Amino acid sequence: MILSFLTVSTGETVEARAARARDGDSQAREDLLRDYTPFIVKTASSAARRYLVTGRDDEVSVGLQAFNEAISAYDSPRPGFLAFAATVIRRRLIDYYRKEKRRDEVPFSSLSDDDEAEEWPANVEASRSFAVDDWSKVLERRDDIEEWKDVLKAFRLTLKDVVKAAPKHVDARERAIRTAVLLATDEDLVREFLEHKKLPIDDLVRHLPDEVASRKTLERQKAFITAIAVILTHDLSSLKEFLDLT
Amino acid sequence: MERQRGLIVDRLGRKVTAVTRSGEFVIFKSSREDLMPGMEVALPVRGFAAFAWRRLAPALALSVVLIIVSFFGYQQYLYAKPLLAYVTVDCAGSVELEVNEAGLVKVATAIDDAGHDALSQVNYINKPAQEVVAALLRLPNATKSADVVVAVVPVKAGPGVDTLEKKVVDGATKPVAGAEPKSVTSLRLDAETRDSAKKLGISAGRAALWALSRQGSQVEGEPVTPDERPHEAPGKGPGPGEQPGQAPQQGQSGQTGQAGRKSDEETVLGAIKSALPQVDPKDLKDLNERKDAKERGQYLKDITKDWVERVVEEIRKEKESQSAPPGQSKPGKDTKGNTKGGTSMAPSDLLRRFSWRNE
Repeated sequence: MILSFLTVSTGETVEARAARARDGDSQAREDLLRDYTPFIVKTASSAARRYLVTGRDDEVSVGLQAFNEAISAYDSPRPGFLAFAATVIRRRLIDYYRKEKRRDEVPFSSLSDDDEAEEWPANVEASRSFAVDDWSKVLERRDDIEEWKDVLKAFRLTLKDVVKAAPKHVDARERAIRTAVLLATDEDLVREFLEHKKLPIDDLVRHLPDEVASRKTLERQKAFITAIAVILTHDLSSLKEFLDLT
Repeated sequence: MERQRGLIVDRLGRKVTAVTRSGEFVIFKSSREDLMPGMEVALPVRGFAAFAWRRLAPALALSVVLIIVSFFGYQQYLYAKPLLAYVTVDCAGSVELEVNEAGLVKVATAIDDAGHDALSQVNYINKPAQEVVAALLRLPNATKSADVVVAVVPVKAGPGVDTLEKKVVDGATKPVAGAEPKSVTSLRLDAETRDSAKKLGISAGRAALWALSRQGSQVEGEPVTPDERPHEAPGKGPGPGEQPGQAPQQGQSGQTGQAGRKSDEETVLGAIKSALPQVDPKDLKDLNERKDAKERGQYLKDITKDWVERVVEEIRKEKESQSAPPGQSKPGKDTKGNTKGGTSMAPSDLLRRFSWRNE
């Protein structure tokens, strides 16, 4: 797997080259497509589960188009262009096979709508075909998610901790989210929160005794409330939008 | 199926973590290579589906198995086996085993302290009855005694009981290294005999053996009822704690204090519980004359019940005599012309009343 920080001939990163190509440099785009053709063929072969030959198999053309689309869509400052490009290639191949109605020739079951290969929960259905704008949205969310995880690390939390602390019951979850919202709207609490990198449970209980849950509950849900508070205080807009925290 | 939108926040190999709009985190496995963080996916709603999978599916699977097994007639293997018989083992200590139809010991009860000690050294749960009996008889205390009484009290009649009895006796007669071969007396008793024996706190087998030895004495012409036997008539053997030829311990009988008198009852029962009378084959004459198993069972039941009642009556009388002020003897004789109560007797005398023979 070619890592994104590897440079080819020009000495600049693939992300930088993609940025130049996106900004209108057609030569940069052509060079990028030529230089990464082996990567494209390899990714398409892996998705199609058979050996593909340039000039013979349609899947290679689909892959090249997808890579071109990825160049246009990738406007993230973060590294990871090639992983993103691989995802776009696989997604486009799925769309291609669906369009050609060749399900019986599908090399792997992930091309079915129902995703029978998946384990629990059954039938996770990925969204419809992505347009370029959709990819931008995906990338924006991806970047916010990565930033969110980085900030959680500063709070000495991992995503696993957050998942574990998330209340199972919907009412308890709503109450925990409400607590995080209350924290984010109080300047003193936000200052305390950002300064000490931990949830100010004492202050929460003292300042908002009627609105928050008991101290014991706050302790138990600490990681989850912190995670929501981070989304609110660091302005991770795509996550705020998805979770309807605006 | 109802679905909800989820946002993929993490992917590690096939494990994908997504968050729903309500803040619920959902972890699932997916072989789809085109899923990446930032993508929205449609997740099925966790609700009845999860409940159904977790709770109802195993119950349904079990129900299907039960139905299929019942259909083919194998239900007998599904259910716990009912109790088949009680097996009592009397050697050093008295133990009662509850044995199920599979011949396995489900519960073991110690009837006396020695039995309790024995059970604490043996692993008996779900073990074959004959193995448990053999293990009990291999214990150090058991190897000192050569006499064993094994009694089977069926709960459920049938050939299974015969098989069980045979196996248990085989287990009891299994030779033990460093010990004398056991003399095993095997008895088939019934629930009424067991209940009678419970009145004295002894096993059914022990009670029946005492009753048999009493009957044997009757056959040989010895007076055996408490009222017929002279108080100091020598028995066939020495009393408990006595040497052969030694006179009964009058010192004990001379004690007029309550403590000394109260120990008579305990000594009687203690002797009954600690000693097993040897049953001469001649003692079993009356028993063996009855060819029918049912008749033999009825005979054993009757004599045991009778013996237990006599012992209980004697103990009651002794209690009454002990409750009288010292020195006062209760006048009068019983219907057979024997002196009743009054002076206390040596424990050996009391035992002799019950035809105790320990040759």
